[in-house]
Amino acid sequence: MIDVNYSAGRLSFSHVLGRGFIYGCLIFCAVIYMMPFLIMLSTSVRPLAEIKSGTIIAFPREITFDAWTKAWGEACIGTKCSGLSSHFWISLKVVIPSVLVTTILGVLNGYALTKWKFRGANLVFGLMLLGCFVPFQAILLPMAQTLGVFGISNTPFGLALVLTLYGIPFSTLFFRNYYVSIPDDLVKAATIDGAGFFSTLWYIIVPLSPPIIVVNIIWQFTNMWNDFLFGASFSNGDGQPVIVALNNMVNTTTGVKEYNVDFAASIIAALPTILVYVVAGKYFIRGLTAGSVKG
Amino acid sequence: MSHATQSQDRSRDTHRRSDMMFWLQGRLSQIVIAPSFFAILIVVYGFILWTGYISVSESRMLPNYEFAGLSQYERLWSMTRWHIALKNMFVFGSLYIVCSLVIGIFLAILLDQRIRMEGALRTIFLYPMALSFIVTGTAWKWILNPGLGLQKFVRDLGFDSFTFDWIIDRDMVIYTLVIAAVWQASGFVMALFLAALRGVDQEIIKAAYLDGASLPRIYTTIIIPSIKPVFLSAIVILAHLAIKSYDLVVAMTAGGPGVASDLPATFMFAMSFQRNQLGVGAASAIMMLVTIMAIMVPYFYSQLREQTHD
Amino acid sequence: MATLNISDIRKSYGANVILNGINIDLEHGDFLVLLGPSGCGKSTLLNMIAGLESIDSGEVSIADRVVNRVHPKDRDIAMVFQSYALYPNMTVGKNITFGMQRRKIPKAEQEKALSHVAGLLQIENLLDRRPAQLSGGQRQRVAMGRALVRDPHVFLFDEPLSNLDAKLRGEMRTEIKRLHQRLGATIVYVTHDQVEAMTLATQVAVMKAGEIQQYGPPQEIYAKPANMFVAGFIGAPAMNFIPATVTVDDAGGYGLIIQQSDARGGDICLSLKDYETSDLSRYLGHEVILGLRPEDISRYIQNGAAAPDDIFTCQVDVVEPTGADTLITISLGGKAVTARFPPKHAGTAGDEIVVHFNMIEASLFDAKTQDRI
Repeated sequence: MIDVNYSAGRLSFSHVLGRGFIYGCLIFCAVIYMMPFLIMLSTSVRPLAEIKSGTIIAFPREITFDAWTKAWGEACIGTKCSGLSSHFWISLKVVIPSVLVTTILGVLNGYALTKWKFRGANLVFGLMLLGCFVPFQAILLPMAQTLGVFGISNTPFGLALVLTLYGIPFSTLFFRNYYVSIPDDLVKAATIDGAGFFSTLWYIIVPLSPPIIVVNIIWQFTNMWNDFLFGASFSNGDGQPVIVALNNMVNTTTGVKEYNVDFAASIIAALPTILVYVVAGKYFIRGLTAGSVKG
Repeated sequence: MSHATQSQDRSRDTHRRSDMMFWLQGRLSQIVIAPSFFAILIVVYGFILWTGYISVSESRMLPNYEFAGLSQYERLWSMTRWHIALKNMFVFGSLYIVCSLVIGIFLAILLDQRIRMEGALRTIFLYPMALSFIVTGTAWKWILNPGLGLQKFVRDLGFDSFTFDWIIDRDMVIYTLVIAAVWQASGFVMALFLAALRGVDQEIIKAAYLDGASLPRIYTTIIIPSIKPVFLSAIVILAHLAIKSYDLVVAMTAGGPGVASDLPATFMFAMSFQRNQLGVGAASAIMMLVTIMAIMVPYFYSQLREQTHD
Repeated sequence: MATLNISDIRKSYGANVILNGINIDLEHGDFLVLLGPSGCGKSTLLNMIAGLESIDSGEVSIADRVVNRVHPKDRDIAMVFQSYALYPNMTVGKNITFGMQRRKIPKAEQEKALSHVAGLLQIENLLDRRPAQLSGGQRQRVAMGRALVRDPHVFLFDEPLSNLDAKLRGEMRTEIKRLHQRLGATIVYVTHDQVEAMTLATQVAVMKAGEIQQYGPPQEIYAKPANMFVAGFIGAPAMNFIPATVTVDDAGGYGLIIQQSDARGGDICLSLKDYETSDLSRYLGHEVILGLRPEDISRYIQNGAAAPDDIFTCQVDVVEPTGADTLITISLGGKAVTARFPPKHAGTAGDEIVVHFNMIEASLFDAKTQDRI
């Protein structure tokens, strides 16, 4: 941040003009960034007839929540017409345990990799880190076969397992980079005080971890909730998570195209992650940038 | 038994117990990380090898592990659709990275000027990152739809000849993907650079200011060069997102019109699960992997080496 | 009974030798300072005594018990860290009693020990605060409190004062000294600050490159450094090293000749009749290094009495007043030599003065091996 703007003698005409330009740009960009969401929101509360007579870029003249109730409970996905609600619960059922498990594993792995370094720890970390960046297309076919062998393909458990497995590398990265900055002396002091591996973790490290736990939960929740590739590959019919169901709903070609229902459904599907961002986004930016910059 | 041997026994006993504990203490961290590590070893590295194996097998509709040499790769590279997907990847990837960087840095610099409401603006720029590509794709699909969205809107305002129908134009459809993807990612780039700008040594900036350098000059000659590592991080992350991008294409264009907006990711999925060409799908997945690793491995190598140097 | 015994400790990481055969023997109540530049292995040695680092070969015994494979918590030691290592999530009181909790000591006993230590260190009013709310000096006290409450056989201090500002460092130094005198505890203390070593230690081990260069009481190390490294490391400003040649005078006594390039008054001859090693025949005609501390060079003021030996004239190059003393730089044998004068003797730059070398305190070093002759 540059505070030279505020030094004496800078409050000239050109300075005011400059500030005006900066605010102008920012507000313009903010409007553009908000626009798609506002359009979705506005369309979702307009009656279909009103949309068809004009465009989707307009303020609602008449507000109705029919599209929302339809998206939630009645809209057709393929041939089945019971809305997104059941898929929404499936997403929660799949994502919440996966987030919890990756968080716990992230804590353990990060702690083991930084505070009790063993020979080869860097290699282990490097191999796990690379796992963050593998295109999932490269593991899709074997995973499909493996899930089949264990008889858990197309089950919420199978999907949760896949999401958890491929969430581990990122959780490890987050916690490892955070724990690196906790002084080793704390662990030494705890060792002398008689705390072992797990009691040091529980009494010293975990109480220092809430910021990175928040980051990890937001990241994993967003990623797993928004996952499409695994959901589309490893689930079907009633077992589909909400994002896959949304895509199928939007692409269901039978009957009249209901834009308001599509958009209401989109907002419903996006609501949990948006909520998480608005509530805890501040911590996320802080932690995420720290993690990414350090690599 | 004499007293001496008794105490010797006892000390040997405690010795053995403490030996055991030493061993356990030394191994505990390895034991703790082992499940995750071996899981990753199997489901990442093992499965990659497996995919590699499928890509050199006779697999078509079902896995068939008869060795087929590089014939699947030959088939892959002889497909026009794959070449379209590659060309799209190149256009989409480079535009996506460049535009996200430019817009992200621009927003970061503006936000760095002691702005009121910085928190709110930051949230606005970043929220698209929270959305699923399916949601983003659906929104942009209708917004860019000529009969329903932007084109209709402008025409209704009275500009009757206004045309913006890229999304149904074979030659232009790839750029609509860029628009949606940049909208989603530039806020994230902004956050990366904002954090980096805040980390720049204030004393250098003050010194430059006292030397009479103007604000734009300070940015171009001092601040931007000093955050070079963030450029690298941002480019690497964006490149990786670009190569993996699958959901956005599915939701927005489904690869169409025709196969005009196919990317390797959608190509792979179509071959493996719709066209009964498992081998070709696996071969394309391996090509994607090789491309990503060509970017990632040198990056991580340099990062890890830097860290051990510290 | 030896409180702490270290015999022939070795440690290396690959080809990188960290410690190369360390031997130390401490009696109860000793205050040992491990002194050396960073990377000399002193912190590694301390961590080995604590049990935080494995030992390649050799033995560490505490109270006549070999502890190589004893867990740190069972070694009867306590440690104060450079970073203090206070648990950020616990109050000061919890920080101090955490170890007792882990060892399942009854609550009442914990309270008693806590209040005793808090009284000793005058931190009673801080017990409910968290480390982040404390100043540097207060954190330092809490860290010491955490060690004191264990009442261990050996205290280990790892550069405990290096994060404090100069004034506080002086105060805490006095505090540690007072605690040592009062508790009569055995302490091993790592530092790179030679002032701490001189003021606190009963024994000093000067280390370099994984080896102990010299081991002894601080005054001995100051007065009779075993080699040029020790001589240069201890004392500020550092000891002057002047190249000189050993000669024999007419009476058969050994002397030194310092060649003066500017030839003002010609070469300087110094008598070695008071030097501890009387037989210097090996070095006759060879170059040696004369080590002389700044306070052993004084200004000679004519007072009617017979002039002593070892005086000569030289020119003052730089005058640096420090308050109590003034540091004078003169040029001798082509080298800048620092002397510590009372301010009234200092003069100004450019003055010609007569200086006297107090050769009784002089050290001689072999020019090749750099060891004391």
